[in-house]
Amino acid sequence: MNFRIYLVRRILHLIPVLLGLSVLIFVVSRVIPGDPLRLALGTEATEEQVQQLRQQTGLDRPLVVQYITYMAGVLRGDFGYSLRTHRNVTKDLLDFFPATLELTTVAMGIAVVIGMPLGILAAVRKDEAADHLSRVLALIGVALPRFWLAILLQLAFAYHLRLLPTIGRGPAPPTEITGLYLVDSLLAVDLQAFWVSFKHVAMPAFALSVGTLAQVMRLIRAGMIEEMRRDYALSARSYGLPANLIIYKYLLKNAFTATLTILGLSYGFLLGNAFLVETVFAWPGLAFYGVDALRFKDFNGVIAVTLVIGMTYAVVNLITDILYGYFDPRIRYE
Amino acid sequence: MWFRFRQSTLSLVGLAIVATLVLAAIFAPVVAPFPQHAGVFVDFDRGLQPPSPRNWLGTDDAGRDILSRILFGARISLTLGAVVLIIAVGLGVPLGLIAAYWGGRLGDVIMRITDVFLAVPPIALALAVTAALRPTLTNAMIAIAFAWWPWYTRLVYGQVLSLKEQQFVEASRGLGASRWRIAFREILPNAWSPIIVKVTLDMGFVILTGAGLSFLGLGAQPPTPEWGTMIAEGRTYLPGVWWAATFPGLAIFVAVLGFNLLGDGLRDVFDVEIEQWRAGS
Repeated sequence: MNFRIYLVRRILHLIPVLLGLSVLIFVVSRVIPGDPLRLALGTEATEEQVQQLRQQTGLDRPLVVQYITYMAGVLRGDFGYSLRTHRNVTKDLLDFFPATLELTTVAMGIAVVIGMPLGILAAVRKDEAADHLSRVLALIGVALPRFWLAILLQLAFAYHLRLLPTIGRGPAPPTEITGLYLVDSLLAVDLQAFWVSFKHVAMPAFALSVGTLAQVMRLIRAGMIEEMRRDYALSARSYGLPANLIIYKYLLKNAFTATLTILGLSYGFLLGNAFLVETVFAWPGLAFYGVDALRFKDFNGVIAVTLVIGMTYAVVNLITDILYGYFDPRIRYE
Repeated sequence: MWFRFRQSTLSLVGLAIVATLVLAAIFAPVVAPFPQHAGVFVDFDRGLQPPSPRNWLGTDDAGRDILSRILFGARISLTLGAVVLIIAVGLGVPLGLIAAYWGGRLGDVIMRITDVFLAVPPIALALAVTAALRPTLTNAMIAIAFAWWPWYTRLVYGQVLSLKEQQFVEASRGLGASRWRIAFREILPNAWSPIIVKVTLDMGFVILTGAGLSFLGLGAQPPTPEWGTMIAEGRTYLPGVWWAATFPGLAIFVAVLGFNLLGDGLRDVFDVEIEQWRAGS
């Protein structure tokens, strides 16, 4: 089957899943006990004011009608009115989403950039001290509560060593294009702004990445060891090709394929854990916004955040699938 | 089996950690230096004291002994893990079994619903559910279980698909066994080992997720000695008071590590068994 058809099918398959997700979240958020409108207006508000807001927000209509109206809005890019920020949720999302995307992507980058060489090292030095050390590090990395690590890093690098900023994203770069500070400052060729943004994102992204980093390290190690035993590796070696060439050009590419499938999945864990890490670092991202929406029972905010996370997760998995075909051309899209 | 397990030091460490946790949970009132500090107790004169011979891990803002609270916290975390996983397995396993063995339209519907639940990371889904409920420990358990069961459906589905083609299933069908009997009495017992491994590994991750929800203020509420709640409380006194947030976090870390090591150990044991079984020995 050709790749384009495969891609279209994958995207078509996503539609029922995301629709299902929207129904699920919608129903869950509408069974809220207590009155979110009363909460939004405060105890001072009269019953009439509450009723008026109920009519304005359409909450007096049947659930099915509410859902259809809501989804019609979503398709037009309108996620409804926020009871907490008193503006359109879409605006909020545009403000907060880039921060989360930047944080999780940098975390993923750290996991791959640090995890891959460590994994190779562990494979090359199998059963030596470096390998044992990497195993212990991996066990620790997976088990560390990321929000706790975030607090410890904050204590060490911000409070005591004063090397990195304690919280936040820092000032926005002068030109806003994508909302991703690192990208924007690079596009404006403003290296100083880039450095400031980088210092802000480094610690939260590292805290977020440890689990994924550990996974990448172990998977690359396992993949490399498996590839080393293959005939092609042996024959390349007997031809007298330099070890580094074999490792980096031939083995790594193949070993990376297996790791790639996990990367898509672990992006989900990064998004999930971002809720905790963003809270610790007061990182103005989607999760930070979502937690506030949760506390204030701002259901439009909650639904929107969950849907956007679901969509991001789906898109990332789609990208991994596409990359998968690049790394392993034998894969036929069926 | 025990012989294989015993050969790995890390598995034994895992078993030791888990056993200690369980014992700490059971005997918390006996071993905790200040059992009364687990609940509502205030002694502001001794508030925020650093670790000392009297309070090994220091005290929190209300003057409560952190060690005692961590020991009682083991009860909460283990209960949370157990309750969540009992629900997740109780719901997820039969659904996966039915979807794979019955197949057809019913199977499709079950798996499509599972896909929907798997479309968001569990913690994000659990958070969305807590929004609809009041923030309590029980509701946090419900929310996590709500997000966790599809993983078991997925796992069992894959297992059963391969098992149902095996000869022993064919044989019992030939003997006239009913579908229910084959599914639950013949196939399911053969699918248990990966489930047990996953449950052990998940105990750690569910405890972690529960602590995360409580940390965000969406699970157990103060003064419950829940580890995540304790970190959230202790965090407000940083950087001067480092112990109040550090030690409960260490407890979570050790607990998760223990279950991970134990789970890995069990997986190795079962993998070998499966290999031997395939080799016909």
